[in-house]
Amino acid sequence: MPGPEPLKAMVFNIERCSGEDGPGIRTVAFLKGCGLRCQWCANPESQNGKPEILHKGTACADCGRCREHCPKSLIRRTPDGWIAGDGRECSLCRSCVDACYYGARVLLGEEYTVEELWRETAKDIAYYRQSGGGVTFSGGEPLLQADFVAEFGRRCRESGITLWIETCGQVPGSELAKAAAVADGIYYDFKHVDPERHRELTGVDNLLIVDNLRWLNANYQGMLSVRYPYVPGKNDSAEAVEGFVAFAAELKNAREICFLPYHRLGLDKYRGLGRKYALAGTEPLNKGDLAHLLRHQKRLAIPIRI
Amino acid sequence: MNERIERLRKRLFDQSPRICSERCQIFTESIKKNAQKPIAVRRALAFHDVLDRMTIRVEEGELIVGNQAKWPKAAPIYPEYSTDWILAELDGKPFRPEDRPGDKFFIDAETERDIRDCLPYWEDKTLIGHLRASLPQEILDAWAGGIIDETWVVGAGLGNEIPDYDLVVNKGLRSVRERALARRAGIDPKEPDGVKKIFFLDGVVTGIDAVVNFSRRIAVECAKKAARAKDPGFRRELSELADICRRVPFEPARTFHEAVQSIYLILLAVHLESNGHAISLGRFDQYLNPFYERDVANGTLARDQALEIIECFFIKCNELNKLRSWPDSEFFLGYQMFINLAVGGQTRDGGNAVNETSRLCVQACAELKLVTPSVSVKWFEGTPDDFMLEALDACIVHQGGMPAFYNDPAFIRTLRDMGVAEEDLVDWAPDGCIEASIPGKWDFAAKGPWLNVEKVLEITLNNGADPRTGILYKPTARDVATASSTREILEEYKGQLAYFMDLQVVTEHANDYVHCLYDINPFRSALVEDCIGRCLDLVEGGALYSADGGPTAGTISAGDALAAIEYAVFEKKILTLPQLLHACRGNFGDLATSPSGPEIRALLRNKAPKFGNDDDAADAWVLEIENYIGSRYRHAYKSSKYGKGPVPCCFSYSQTPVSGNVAFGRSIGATPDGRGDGDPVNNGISPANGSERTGATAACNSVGKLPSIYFQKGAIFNMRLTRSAVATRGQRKRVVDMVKTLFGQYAQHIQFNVVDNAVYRDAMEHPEKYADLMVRVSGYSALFTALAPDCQVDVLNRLEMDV
Repeated sequence: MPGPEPLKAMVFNIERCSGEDGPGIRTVAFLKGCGLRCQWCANPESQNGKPEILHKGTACADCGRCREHCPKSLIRRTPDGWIAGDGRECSLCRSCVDACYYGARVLLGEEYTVEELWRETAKDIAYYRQSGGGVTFSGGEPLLQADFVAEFGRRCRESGITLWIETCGQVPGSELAKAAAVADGIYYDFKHVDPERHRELTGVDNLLIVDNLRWLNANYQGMLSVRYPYVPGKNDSAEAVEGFVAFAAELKNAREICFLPYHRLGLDKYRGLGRKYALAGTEPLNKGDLAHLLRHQKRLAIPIRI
Repeated sequence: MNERIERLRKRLFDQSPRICSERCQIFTESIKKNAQKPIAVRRALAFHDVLDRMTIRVEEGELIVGNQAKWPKAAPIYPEYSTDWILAELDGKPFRPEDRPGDKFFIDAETERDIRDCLPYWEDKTLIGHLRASLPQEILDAWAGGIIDETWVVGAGLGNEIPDYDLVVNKGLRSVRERALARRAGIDPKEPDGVKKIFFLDGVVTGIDAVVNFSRRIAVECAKKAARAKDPGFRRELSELADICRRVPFEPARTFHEAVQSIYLILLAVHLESNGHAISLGRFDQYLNPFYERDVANGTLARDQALEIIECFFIKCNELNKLRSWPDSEFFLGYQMFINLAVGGQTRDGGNAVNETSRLCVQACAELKLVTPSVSVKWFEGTPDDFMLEALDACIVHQGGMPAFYNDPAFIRTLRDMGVAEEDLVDWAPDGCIEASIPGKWDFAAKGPWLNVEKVLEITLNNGADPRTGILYKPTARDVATASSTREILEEYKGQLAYFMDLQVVTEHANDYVHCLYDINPFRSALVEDCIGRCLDLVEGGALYSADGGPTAGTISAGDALAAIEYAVFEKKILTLPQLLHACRGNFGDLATSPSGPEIRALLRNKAPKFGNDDDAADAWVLEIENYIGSRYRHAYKSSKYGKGPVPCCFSYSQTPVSGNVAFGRSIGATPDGRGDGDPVNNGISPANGSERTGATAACNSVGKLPSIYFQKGAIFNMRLTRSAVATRGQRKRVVDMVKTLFGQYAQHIQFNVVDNAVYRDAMEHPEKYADLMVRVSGYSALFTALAPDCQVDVLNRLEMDV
């Protein structure tokens, strides 16, 4: 008799040797699917929970082989490259991916069982152990697949490596709790303090996100880091920042508040997915541009990092 | 860096490399005068004459004195090794020395005339001439075709050795001379070889006397300069130096300063006896630190003074120079002398050997940012993280890949496997680029023809013929285009590799034979155990340890090529083998085929698996080749010294291509890894340019799979780090953790280039602004602006890794 279906996660990228997503040397597994649609999202390919095909304009040699090999003739040449579209459904048959010799077409989104993902990430286990590193789940919103994350987290525990999670908090509290039980650390993104403005910027209000963050502050035993992507014209007004700081003042159990300068490195991916990027005209910031935010430090019990 | 050091460093950079005729003239006259003397005596007398008559230069402000030629950074000429190219280059073929694309040398009219006067005598007497006349045609063909190449070994003296500095600083040359005389007294000239032994020992004594006379000439010059010095500080320093040079290296050193001066005089003398490069320093911190501690304890030396002396020594190491033929220079670009200096590692009882002198060397390396000496950090489990971080910080400042990191346990495992005695294992030190040697006990850490590993694959794919020349070397057993698996091609490739490796070995035996006849160097031999006991030169088998083996280039690229064949032809069946071979022969330029040449190249480059991504689809093929070559060198061959005393007398695998990966790449047509006609092959065991796509740990894991047990002669792993990736101490700690994890897999070595591409691009356009910009090309650091443009581009193309 066949056993129960093993848990599977939809992974769109595995990045080894990351230095930005938790302590030590880490591998980051990016899970596909997200409940938010942030206007500035740098990983547009992460939003949809299903696989999709990305076109990399910089690699494309304009040879047209992808069009020749598409059995449904979906691929059209646009100013942004050879994009599948025209309203008809792509069946993700990979013909165009295989036909492209330049590596310009990539199928994003592959299912992994816990065992498969473990095998892939365990290639660097010696580095994790040496450096106090481990695996970080990012996305997308990894906690939309919280059972998988929790199961994987138990695997990390058994092997003595750390698990970190990057979440936007737009998940049921029960899902968050499953992951919190196994995560050594959580990066929690917070976009805007005003529910209505939050809806304009991300597609949903922030009620669940606020509740979840309060719950973590009250109950989570691991390292909680709250991140605020600082986006010009979106959430950088004095009112928005003041509001966030006031809320953050409640978060006595978090380890830090981290402001992230806006960047637009995802622009090419919007083009490659045949999508419009709403913030194309917004100039990126660097860390220096955020230095003034440190003045809010006196109102907080925990440190601000830029 | 204090004001003195800044001034000395600036003077060094202001000096242009030149050619000096003195050694050439004095040596030639002496050799003519003693034409019928036995070779050991004849060369020792010539050595004596050179050291007795050459110009002595001492400059105010120097704390370490002595010179190799009339001017700092001037290269003497060693006509006994090869001369054809000197005449040709003076005639502008292919370039006048001052017009070369890289490693330029200036020559004045008088010097040129003096050299031209000497050269006719040597026309039919050079080492390279003797060797070439003794080689069979198939070896000369392989040499001409750029498949194997012995120029670096026989076009100049044999090098890659580490004299016993420990002995010199603690016992003095006096003890060596006494031992030689005692040995001589015990020889009965009627016994077999008794006369020859006496000749050798006479050479040793003459050689030691030559060096002692040299040091006393330097002392006289110091005293003269002192008498004339206006500044009382300089007067005092020069008088002290006169006293020091009257004493060392003949007597044991009493102070730190005497010890360092003694070491420098030995280094100079060995460089003047012969011009083999890579005369290295061994465990500098270990034999020097007792002097440091003693002087500090009795209050005669402060840390800053010791640093100043070491920095003066480092600067003086950069005054040494060597003129190589232009084609040979292309393999060793960057005015390199390959003087390697080891710090750290472990003591004989397994303790941490890092001491204050280790730290001083790391500090000097960072402050001075010089080409040489190559400071090498030996790591083992007991090496403190603090010291590793100090070394990494120095590496970030130096920008040129120094200090490099070496894995003590991995080298010890290799050397134990080769039969090195337990008590000697921890004393191993990298020589030259990275070759493992036991200081004072090993002859030549590297010696033997180059092997162009990917060229042999190209020949295999053309059924044993070189497509460039049409020369058929050894026919393959079958038409390779009809192979039904990559493994069949691999088997043919192994057969071809064996053929050319055999030729390498035969070349080396012939090379040793001619050196035994014409190139005996008693002085340097006397500083390696047990040359005096056996009365044999290094090349005759005088050392305790010996193994041959020249550098190879392109094994990783060749493995990538097999992986690409497997992927495109046999696994995915996108191409047929004839299609692929056609594309390679046409350098991926045929637009009439489908897919077209450029499309095939894109497929091979972008879709086929590549070494450096922790992907067995590529790594396994590399491993097959590595195991085959490594095991064959180790087990299938014996060097000419076998049975004469040294152990183990096998051959060893070396993947230290310096800039040879560019030079050798030029003779290879397009290959299935997607490499274009004439493009460089990979460097050392570093992944090929642009093929690391999975991050630094993946590249490390690929490297960690390689059979380092065979790599006595080193395998270079270069990694570029972006400056932003090492900005914080936390990030640098992560790099150290990565190195330790890599070393846990018995990888031998890693070196980092920490620099941003923009800097190099600007340096290509404005070399004048970057006279001191360093780059670690491979196993050594060079001045970036001294490299030829295509070598510069190769450096640029290396992918920046984010750690």
